Amino acid sequence: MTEATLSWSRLPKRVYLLRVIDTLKSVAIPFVILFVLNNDWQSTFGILIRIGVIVFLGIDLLQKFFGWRNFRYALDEKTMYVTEGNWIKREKSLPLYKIQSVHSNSPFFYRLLGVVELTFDTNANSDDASFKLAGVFPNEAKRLENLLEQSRVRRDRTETSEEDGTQAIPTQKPESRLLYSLSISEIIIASITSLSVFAIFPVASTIITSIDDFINLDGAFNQVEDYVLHASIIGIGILVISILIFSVVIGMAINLLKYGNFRLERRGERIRVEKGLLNRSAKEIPYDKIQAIRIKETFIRRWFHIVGVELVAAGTMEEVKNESSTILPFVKRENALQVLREHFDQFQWSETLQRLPRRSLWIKLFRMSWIGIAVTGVVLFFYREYGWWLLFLWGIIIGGRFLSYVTTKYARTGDYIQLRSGAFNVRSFLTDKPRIEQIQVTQTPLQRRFNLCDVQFSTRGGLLSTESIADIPREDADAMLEWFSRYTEQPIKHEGEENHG
Amino acid sequence: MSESETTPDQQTSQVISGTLPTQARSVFRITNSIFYLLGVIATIALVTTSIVFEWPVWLQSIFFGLLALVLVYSLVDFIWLQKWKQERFSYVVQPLEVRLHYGVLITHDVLIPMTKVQYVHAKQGPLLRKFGLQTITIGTAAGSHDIYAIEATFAQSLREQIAMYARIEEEEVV
Repeated sequence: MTEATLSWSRLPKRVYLLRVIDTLKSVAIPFVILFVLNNDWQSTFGILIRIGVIVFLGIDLLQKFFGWRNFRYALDEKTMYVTEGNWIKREKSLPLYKIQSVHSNSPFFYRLLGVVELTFDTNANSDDASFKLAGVFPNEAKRLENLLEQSRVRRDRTETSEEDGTQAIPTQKPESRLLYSLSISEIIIASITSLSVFAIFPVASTIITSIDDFINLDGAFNQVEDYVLHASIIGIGILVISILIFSVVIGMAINLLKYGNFRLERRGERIRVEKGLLNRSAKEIPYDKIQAIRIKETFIRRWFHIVGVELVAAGTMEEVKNESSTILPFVKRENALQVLREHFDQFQWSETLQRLPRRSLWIKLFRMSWIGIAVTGVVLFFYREYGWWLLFLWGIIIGGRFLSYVTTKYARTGDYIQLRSGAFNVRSFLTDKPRIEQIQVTQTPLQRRFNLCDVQFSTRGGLLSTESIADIPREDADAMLEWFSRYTEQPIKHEGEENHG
Repeated sequence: MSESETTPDQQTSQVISGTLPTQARSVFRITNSIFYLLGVIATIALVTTSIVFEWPVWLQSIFFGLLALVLVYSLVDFIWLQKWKQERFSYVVQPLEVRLHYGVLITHDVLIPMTKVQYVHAKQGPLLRKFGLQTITIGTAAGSHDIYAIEATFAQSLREQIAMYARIEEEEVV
């Protein structure tokens, strides 16, 4: 490593401030409990614990300071170098060609102090797969992204044409095109049609009971209970509706914060998603890493023709963990399909899908519901007086199976395979032959009797990248295997050049 | 049932296919014995505690039933299921793809194109070594599959063959 020629930089000083804030946030609750609510310096144990907490805090702040001071990074044309470590210094280097995408993220306090967090994602799946600069100024972020872009352009150039390497590298960024931005009304409709509206009841009851542990709310509770017991149906109706409206408003606020100013952009060969009002985050996915597209329809939103669109991308696990690969969270079906048709035309959605044969319905109904049986057993044994609720449970189970029979559809057109599955929430999955890593057909003894089987398609995008379809006819599954086989005669098409490794 | 009659010189026909050798059965049986043992020990513990602490009779009889079930299942598994597991495993390796078929109750048919194969490992634990066998693991970005317990020298050549078909180079190209 040529230390001398590199210009090393540290993260700005205010990053240390951010880390201090972080620490303070995490110790705030124990501090309030130990020094405000219960400031007890009498017993030896109490003194020890309080001194312990203060010492711990001091060490943590000191450690964070050294962590900040020792963290330095530098870039040259090919590599990114980093030294880090709180007490022990470590050096690492990351070749730029391995960096697949850069994500910027700006939590609330970061935005307050005017810095962003940059994450560099590589293709590897190991621990050092991604790499973080926790807090740099926006113009520095821009400089780094430009450097990466240049290295990418340079690499593409040397890959495509070796001879004209003498030309100067163009420094302009690829033009970015806005593909979709969410409107406020879309966010509002999404909040109303979200099932989480009903989450207010369990959430509220937990909050109330946990407050009740500290402050005695019994009196207030009894009043409410009295009111509910003596109120008319109309009174209760108004109460419930107003609680629901309140919940919708909260949901709206959360969604506005989360998805406010949502933008889906195309920058050259990359897809960029930006979202969030307070915590603004940006994520990039290279086009050629897209393995499949998934459309999700939740039970309620389905009636409003609102869908969510996700990309299944090959890359680090981070894409799997958070919902960052969501490119359209909740938009009208037509709009979503239009975006997909125009800008993701490497995947073609087919309109006519094949339904399951009637015997699939029988097998679905016939199959044991272990959860149903277990719950039924417990209820009948211990809570026989609530037995009527079991009808409701079995209604849901059988209804769900019937729905799953109705929603499951599939199509195989040319190189594309399209699967639609789910009962209450429906998922559609589309990928093509070159991107499928493997096909697995499984058949249980029961399915053998009905001549049905399950087929699982895997692409290379991590955990969520496999999709299966249940209870399709064995002949169709065999046909899919034939279709996927490289030995089957096929209409002439260039194929098999998608892989390099 | 035909045992693994495949030999490395079938490379010329470009299709290598076969099932597992009969020794694989013994390997499966020995590895599974530990689970039978655990199951039996656990249920015996349940039965004894229920007797020692004088739990209700119906609970005791349930535990006895469970013990009987575990014993019968272990026996069936030991004698038949492991045999079928060996007999019903088959693989076909061709220059462009690998096909696997396995499973006793639930059958699996797997098709992996050679272009998607990222690595092939051969591994051998002490038990496999004793029987002169090796397990080959074929890995793709979406997961991996094992060809269990095939004859060691043949496993070596099969591994090399798959690596060649899949064009897995020893050194990563930058």
